[in-house]
Formats: sequence, C-alpha cells, structure tokens
Amino acid sequence: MVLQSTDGGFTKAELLKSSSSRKRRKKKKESIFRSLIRPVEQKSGNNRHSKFYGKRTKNTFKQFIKQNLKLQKDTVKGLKKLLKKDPKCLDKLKDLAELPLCSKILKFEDFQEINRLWNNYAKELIGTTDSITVMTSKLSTCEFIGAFVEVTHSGCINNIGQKGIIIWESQHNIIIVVPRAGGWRSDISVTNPKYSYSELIGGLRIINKEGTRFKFRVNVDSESPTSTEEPCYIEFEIIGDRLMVRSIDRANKKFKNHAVRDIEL
Amino acid sequence: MICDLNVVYPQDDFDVFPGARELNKLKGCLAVLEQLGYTHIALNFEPKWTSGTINKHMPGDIQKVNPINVDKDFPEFKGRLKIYSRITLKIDDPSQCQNITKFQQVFDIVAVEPQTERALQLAITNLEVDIITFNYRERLPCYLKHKTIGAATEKGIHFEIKYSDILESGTHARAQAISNIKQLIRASRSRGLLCTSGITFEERSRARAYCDVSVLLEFMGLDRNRASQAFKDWSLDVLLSGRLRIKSYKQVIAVSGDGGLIDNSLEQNDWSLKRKDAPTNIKIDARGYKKRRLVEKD
Amino acid sequence: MVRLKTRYILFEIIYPERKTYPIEDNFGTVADSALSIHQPTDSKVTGRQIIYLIRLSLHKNFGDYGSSTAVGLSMRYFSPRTGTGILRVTRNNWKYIVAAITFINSINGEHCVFHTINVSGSIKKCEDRSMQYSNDLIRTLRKARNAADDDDGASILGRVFAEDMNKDGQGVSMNDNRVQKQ
Repeated sequence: MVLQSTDGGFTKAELLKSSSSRKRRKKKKESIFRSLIRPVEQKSGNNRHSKFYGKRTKNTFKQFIKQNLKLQKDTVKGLKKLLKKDPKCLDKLKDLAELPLCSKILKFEDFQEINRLWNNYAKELIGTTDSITVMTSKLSTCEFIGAFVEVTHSGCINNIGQKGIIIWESQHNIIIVVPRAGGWRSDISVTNPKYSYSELIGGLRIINKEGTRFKFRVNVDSESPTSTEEPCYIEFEIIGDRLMVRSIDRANKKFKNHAVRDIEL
Repeated sequence: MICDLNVVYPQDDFDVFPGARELNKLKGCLAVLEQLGYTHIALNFEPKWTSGTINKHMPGDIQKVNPINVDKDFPEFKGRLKIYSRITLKIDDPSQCQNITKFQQVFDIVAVEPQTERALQLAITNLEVDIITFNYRERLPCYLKHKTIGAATEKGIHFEIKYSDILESGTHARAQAISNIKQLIRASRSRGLLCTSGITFEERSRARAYCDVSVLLEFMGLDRNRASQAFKDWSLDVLLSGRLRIKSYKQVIAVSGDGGLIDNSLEQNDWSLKRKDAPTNIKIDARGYKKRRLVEKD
Repeated sequence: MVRLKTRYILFEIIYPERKTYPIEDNFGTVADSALSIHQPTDSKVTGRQIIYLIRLSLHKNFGDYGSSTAVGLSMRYFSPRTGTGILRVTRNNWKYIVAAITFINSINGEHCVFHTINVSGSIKKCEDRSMQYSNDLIRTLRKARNAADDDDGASILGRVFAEDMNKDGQGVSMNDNRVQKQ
C-alpha cells in the first residue's frame, strides 16, 4: 500500500518516453528520475557523461524546478512583449502551446496519464468500505503524487481555485502542474473569461501546505456495475496544516488530534 | 455566525422519548433563538445521573444512543438553522470514562461535567472532549487554578458559561452563579470560553440576543471582544473539532461536504431509520457524501 | 464648553410566550415565527411605565448605586404598535441601563424579552437603524407572502400585519422628525 514517492517518477519517466517531441527535455527528465530511483547505483553506472553525473537527487530536482519556474517567468515576459507588438496574435491560435515561446513549459496533458493511474490506485485503496473513518485513515497514509487537486482555502489568495495534478510533495510544499487557461475562472464564467498571463501559460505551481486545504475526488463505483447504481464519487479534503510531514514519514506517522485554532472554517 | 451550543433536549433517559408537545415547544424555542440572530444551535442531551451509574441505562446498540433525530424531527429548520447534537456527561469516577470514545462517534459535540477535582483533572489530561461545563448554581467542585484551565485551553478544550443561570433574580443560586462565572473568567484569563444559553424548552423567554449578553459579561470581567469571540469564534472552534472527529482521520483528511468542514447536512441524522445494510453507526457512514458522477460517453 | 454627552438606546420588545398566534404552533417558516414573536405591545403600556420598570430592575440588580445611573434616563420615542422605543441615557451609564433592560422579563405580568438593537451617540442613527430593522422584517414577511401567493394565497394575518408594519414604519420616521425638531 505504501508506495515510495519515487514510484510516481517511474510512471512519469515512462510517460515521457512515449511522448515523441522535445528530445532534449526528455533526456534531462529521464536522468532526473533515474537518479531519483537509483541514486547510489548510478555512481558506477554507464551514464558517466550525463550532465547529472555525481550530483545528488535532491539538488537536481531542485534545479529542475527552479529552471522551470524561471522559464515560466521569462515566458510571461515574452508573451507580454509579443502582445504589445501585435495584440491580436493570440486570436488565431487554438492552443497556446503551439507558440514556439511556450513549447518548453510543462504540459498538463502529459501528466493526465499519472492521474488516471492514481485514480485507479485510490479506488482500489478505498475498496468497498462505507465507513468514513476507515476511508480517511487509509487515505492519510497514501501517496498523493498524481492526484488532481483543487485548492479551496489558502492564506495566499492567488492560490485559491488553482487546480492541477500533484507531481511532488515535500514537507512544506506541494508542487502541482496546472492546465493552460484553467482554474476557477473557467468554472464560474459564462462568457470568455479573462486570464492573466501566468494563467494562460499554465505550468508548475508551488503551493505551501500551511493554512491550505486541498480537495480531491475518489471514484467509488462498485466493481460490477448494475443498472440501478449510479457512478459516483466522494470528495475529500486534505488539511494542509496537519500534513506537514514528508510523504515518506507519513506512512508510519501516528497522527493526533490537536486544538483546531489554526484551521479556518 | 452566532452559535448557541446548549439548548436542553427534553429527555434525560435513553429509553423515554419526548412527546410531540415537548418537541413543538422546543421548536418554538429554536424559532425564538433564530429571531434573535443565532445561526448554529446544538441540542444538548443530558442523561440522568446518579453517582457512579452511567453505564447502567445505556443501550448496547450504538445506534440507539443518540436520541436526537435532526432530519426526522426538525425538518422545518432546514436551511434556516444548523442544528447539531451534543451530549453532556457527568463524571466523578475515572472508571466510567471508557465510554466516552463511543459517544464521540455518535454526537457532534461531547461535553463533560466533572463532579470532583479528580474528574476535572482527568477530563483535561486524558479525555478527548470538546467542552467542560459546571453546574454554576452550586459550589464548584474545586477552586479553579489557572494552570489547569490553561492546560485545557492549550489542548483545545473550551469552558462553558450558561447565561440563563444569571437571569433568574433574587435567589442565592444567582449569586453563586455570578461568583462562579467570575472565578472561571479569572482563572482562564478570558481565553477559551464559550457562552451558551442553557435554556430548556419551557423557558423560551429566557433567551437573549448576543449583544445583550455580552454587556452582562462585561460586568463580570470579560471584555467586549472576548465576549464576541465566545459566541462566534470559539464556539465555531468547538463545532469544528467535534465535527472533524467524525468527518476526518485525526484532522488530516476529511470528507468534504457542501458547506465547509462543520456542515452536517449530508449525513443521515435520522436515527430511527432502519436500513438492512446499515453499518453499526450512521454518522460515520460515507454514503451520504457520494455524489453522482457524469460519465463521458465516447 | 462642556457638552452633555448622551447615548441613545434603540430597543424592541418581543413576546415569545403570547397565547394569540403562539410560537409553538407557528415555527414552520421564518415569516411565521417572526410574526408570532414580533407582536404589538399592549396599547396601555406607556413609555413612563417602561422607565419605571427599568428603574425597578436597576434597583433590584445593581442596588442603590445602580439606581443612581438612571438620572438622565428618559424615553425619547415609544410605539406600542411595533414595540420599539428609543431611550436616552447619560454616556457613562449606558451599560448599566442595557444590563437592566436585559434582566426585565415581564410587562404587566406578561412574559417578554427586551432586545437591544442599537446603541448610538445620535438619535438620527438610531432612527435609521430602526427603519432599516423594520424594513428587513417587512421584507422577510413580503417574501413569504409572495411565495405563499404562488401556492394558494397568503395567510391573511401575514398580509395585514405586513401592511400595518409598513404604515408604522413610516410613522416612526415622522414621529422622530418631530422629536428632532423639539
């Protein structure tokens, strides 16, 4: 039941292998994930010429995230410039990813496969029980990488309403990949909503767990669907304040009730 | 959101249920509180108690422990008031306290009324309860020290003040109640208190609006801001911790309803409901939280 | 120059235990319960009588010291029809008066609850608040009436009462203008 958090990396690596484009990034990411999985063996491995040879997994991952965030920042700037020159240049495009400027940013679509795997995993994990206590206690030790979450409460108002797939969970932060032009605006707006530049390009978001609540869904259809039973789901909420442990420690941690002063309604 | 977490439910035995007349009066009581501006109300079930005999009358079936059928008996208040159930247990002996975990699964809020100093000490250190209350009309079981009360507040246990005790005039009980409340406010340094009405179904005209009561509390040494917190923030804290005990696993992951974490509208509150495949406890049944999923047809 | 500082207390008398249209039979909707609680005060009750009640309550609960706070106490406006009134007290003592009002539980042997709606430094704001309060009440009743009209006609009592309240709501403002002119 307890997946090591690096297992999410496997699927990601496989996924990226199957995608055909952007070879350079693929290589980089593969090596990251390989280093995540087998950091020790790699020392005598054959990829001595790799850029990441002899580097620690943690630092490499950090670097990757940093690079991506910087890329997103630069893309926003570039997009601004582009629109200044030609305000109508985006109207012809169906998808922003077609722009050469935005092609390097992580795509939400690439991670949907992980989400599919996670959905099956969560469904299996819950099983057929109807008791809230059993469900929630199982989910509290499960892996969240791959889950599609929505931020419902946060101390930072920009985070509220972000929706995306979790790709990494650390002690204090959760890193999600959000779709292009998604989030709460597309839910409430009837006409064409106005997105900010960073919302338009999507990509990585780092969200602090403190004071934040994440909502996710788990499908609970029965194994052999009869005609009377509807396919349904249950929504769960992660209370970020109480989950401030590393995902590896979480499997064995004994949680306790505390005063609820810090949880907002 | 103004809360009143103590409206006495007209029943003191597990087996004897209230009649239609009493329930109607209780509903009248709730309507008065609604008009006075309250939004969250807890119905308080106080089982009869004589020293050392709490387990005797308790039914073995856990479904029969909670007599308050919010769905069945109070359909009129749907959408107007949020009604919760609460139990107040009197304890004087540490040996009785194993049952408390049982009650936590069935009631939204669990309160204890310690009768001795040892029981108070026990309630603060060992028991997982939301509220500690006293009988303010009589002498308190012991002198309240800041150290004990502070430890409770730190742990998230709140102390209750009942304002209906101080409305009745000209008796010795009122003088005692005022001095007890003053002692509690002093010992707790005005933190972690909550103010409730404590009215029964017959005493509708004892209900008061929150701003009137906060003036009274000001006379007893609780300042305006703290009085408002006692009615709003701290009461909601109590509700939240009580609800999270049912809805979540150790406050880490909770089942999410429609209206935030303290909402109880989705679960089955009708305890008389006899379902064949019902689990041992309706409150922790997740079936109410299931929502229909739209299936994409390819 | 030293000015006399005052506070104005807007209060309302509600009757949770009236026998006519009792609450224990009429809790079905918000409008029903509002109607059965906000009933008109007995027309014999005067402002002077209420002042007397407050003084009595002050003496009972706060003793002679409390009674001394009722020096500047006077009733600026009282309408038995809506059960609302405005009291004028000296600024330092308003808490004693509000507490004393809270302790009152009957008029002429009938159970009632005094509900302080607003405490303000100027009578104008009290008037505004009172009008706003009665408008809110009327709006809930209207809403219920419209909903009932859709079904099978309104409860007659509700309609009559709402219209009465409406007239009286205007009455409040007119009377109070007079008060101000004085």
